[in-house]
Amino acid sequence: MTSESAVSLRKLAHQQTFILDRSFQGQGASVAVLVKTGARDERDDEHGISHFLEHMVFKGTPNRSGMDLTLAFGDLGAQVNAYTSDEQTVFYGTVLKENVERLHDLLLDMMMPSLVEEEFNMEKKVILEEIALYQDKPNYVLYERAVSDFFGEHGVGQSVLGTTDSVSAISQPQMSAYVKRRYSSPNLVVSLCGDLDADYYAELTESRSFGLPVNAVEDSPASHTQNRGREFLFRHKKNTQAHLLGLCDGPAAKDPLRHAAMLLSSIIGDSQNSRLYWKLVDSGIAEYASIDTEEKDGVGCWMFSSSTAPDSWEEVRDKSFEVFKGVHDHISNDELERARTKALSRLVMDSELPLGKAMANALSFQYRQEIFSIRDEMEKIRAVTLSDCHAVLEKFPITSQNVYVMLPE
Amino acid sequence: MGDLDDGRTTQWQLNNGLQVICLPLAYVDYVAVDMLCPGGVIHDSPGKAGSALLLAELLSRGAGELSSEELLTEFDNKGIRHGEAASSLTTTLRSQFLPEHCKKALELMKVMITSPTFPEAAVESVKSLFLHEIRSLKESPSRWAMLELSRRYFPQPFNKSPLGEESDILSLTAEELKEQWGNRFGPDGAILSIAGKFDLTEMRDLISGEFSDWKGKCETMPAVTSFPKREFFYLPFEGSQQQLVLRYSAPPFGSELYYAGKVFSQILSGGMFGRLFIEVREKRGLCYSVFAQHAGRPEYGHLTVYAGTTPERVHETYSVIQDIMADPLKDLSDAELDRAKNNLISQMILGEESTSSRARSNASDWLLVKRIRSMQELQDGIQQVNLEALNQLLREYPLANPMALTLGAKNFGTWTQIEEGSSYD
Repeated sequence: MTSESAVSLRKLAHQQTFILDRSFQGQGASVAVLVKTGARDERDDEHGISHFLEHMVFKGTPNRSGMDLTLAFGDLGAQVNAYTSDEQTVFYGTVLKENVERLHDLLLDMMMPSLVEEEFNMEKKVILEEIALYQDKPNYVLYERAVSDFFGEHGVGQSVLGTTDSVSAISQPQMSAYVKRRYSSPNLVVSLCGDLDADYYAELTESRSFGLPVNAVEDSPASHTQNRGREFLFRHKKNTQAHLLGLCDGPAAKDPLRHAAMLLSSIIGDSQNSRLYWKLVDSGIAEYASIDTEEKDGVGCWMFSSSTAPDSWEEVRDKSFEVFKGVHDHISNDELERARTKALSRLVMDSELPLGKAMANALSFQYRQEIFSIRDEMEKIRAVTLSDCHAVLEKFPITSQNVYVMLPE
Repeated sequence: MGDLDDGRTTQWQLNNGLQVICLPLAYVDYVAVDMLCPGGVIHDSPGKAGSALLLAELLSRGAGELSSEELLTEFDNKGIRHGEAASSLTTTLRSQFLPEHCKKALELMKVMITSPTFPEAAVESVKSLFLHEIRSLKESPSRWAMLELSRRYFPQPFNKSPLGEESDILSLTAEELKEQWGNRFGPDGAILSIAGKFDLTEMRDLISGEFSDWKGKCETMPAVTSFPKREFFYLPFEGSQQQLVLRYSAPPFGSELYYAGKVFSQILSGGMFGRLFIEVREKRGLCYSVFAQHAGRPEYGHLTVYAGTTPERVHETYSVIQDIMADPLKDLSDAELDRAKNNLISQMILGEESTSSRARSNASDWLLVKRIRSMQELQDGIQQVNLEALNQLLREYPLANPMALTLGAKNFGTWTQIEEGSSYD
């Protein structure tokens, strides 16, 4: 289970990407199948379709019914799940090593879903329930409204779940067309982690994804122009506290400054011993206050979030901006070194399990077309200088945030 | 859950009563520590519900000669990740770090445990954090519903809210808290569990050097009195969804039918093949989230069934759940039983692959049974569950009499309407 060992990265016959990380030597093994499609790739009449399809993928293929899949996963003792974001849909699972070939087989078979009408209509009800569930979470409602306003026309601001209306209007033929358009070989990254044979699994991946369409995938629209430094107040009847979300431009996934931005996030907004912590949390003004970067394909943002009592939100906003201005003025070498030490040890501790590695490798390939070992990442963290941190702030000033606030009605 | 091929647990007790469990793992890259102290919110004195939460949070707000900032900086300078928290029954200090920082990590944990300073200003700000959590509970309706059910399901003091009570928290003082810590938390009864990359002999010396002079004892579990009468409750809330929670008696931890209870909950709710998931979600599309969970301590056990759905569909959801629970083993095949057992075993093995989970489960095992269960013992216990055991389970823990609570816009039955947090004593 030591950190370093060979990672095999291959392009297969139909441009599928295959990754095998052998650095985990425990009893388990993981498979992640990433499809490069999400909310940003949806057309105006498709909002919510990527996520709806993620559910439908578990409902059967020409080879297996939904129940066959369910029972097969159960027989494997597989911990299987999936998620959809604005830029990818990922199906993943962990099993005991002796069962990984069957898990791999099932997950790849699922990339060709049959989308039976009856199942489609039934699952639509489940999706509508999921939308209702999130409507009761003010934090989530705020997030959706904020990113939608901030990214404007850019697809990454689009709701992943969609709305009750948009999902209700999606038809089965529309979803079939979406599958053909997006679930194609060049859009597929199959990432495994475990004590497995690379040649064997590369060959299996090639043969089991052979039936996928081979069409090249169109690029998603990628420009956003918005006013900055604005403030928005929303009210929500289920809110009892005030929630704040701040957004401004930040590094994209390929930006060479992203490691410096990561250390800056830690200096400004780590959960303990950061500038926001001392200003807002230690004093009990806010329940939490953090900042992080969201790095996406060709675009990125800083995201500040905090929660406080309804009558304290202006104090939180003002004190946060004092912190942001202070960071632009000065960062100490001690702060940078502490952030670096924390980042290095977290990297080791968080890279222990096979699922995390399989997922991280798949995402790294999607965003950077490369896989970085832990040692590579550590070198990049070690190389960050104070000048790099200032360069990040110059390029992406955190003082120019739009502030979105959700208050009780 | 030790004694796997890759490491062997060693246990010993210091003279002051501290139970130590060490699991050296040569092939991992870090060390994880769990310090488990029996004593949580249920042990808080009347009028002081929430003290345990504040005590745990305050441990990092200043200890020994170190101010809060100095203490956190000491942790950060070595990249030591740490967390201190109290729950209903226990208070836990955790840390994870690279092997070369073992001494510093134990030193810092020791100073927090033995010499917290509870500065006045910190007490006031920590109170705000927990009041905020209580006040934001309604923003998480499923958690709120579970909590309201537990308030009514358990006898005192097990029915105390894990969030504490607002008025009690407001009334606590730094002086009171300081006194409570010394009287409630000590080595006698506490468990120090360490897993990861370290040399056992060096670790023995380190632990002995750091913790031998710690004095005092932890809380003990109060006796369990009779459980309140089972009722059906309705709590009005204008949510998009309605929450439905049912709770049944189930085998306690360590009892003869404990593993049968675990397998039974898998039959109801294992992965995507559980009967609840298939009948409620897959066949009828009634819910996004529906599950059953068996939880057990040596003193009691219970099975909780949860579903969240829109108010107009809650009655149907309830009816479907009732039908399943009326005859939960109907047409159970060998394949279905095997699937439930294998899934449980697989989850257990895979759940034990991280260093921190090994430290955590060793501490938990010791707390519950005063020994470390082997993976083989767990597997054998699960594999032995057969249809006869499941039938016995249903005879001894019949499902006819749950306590239930629904939180939402619709009182679909004649359930007793209640107000939040009311009349649970």
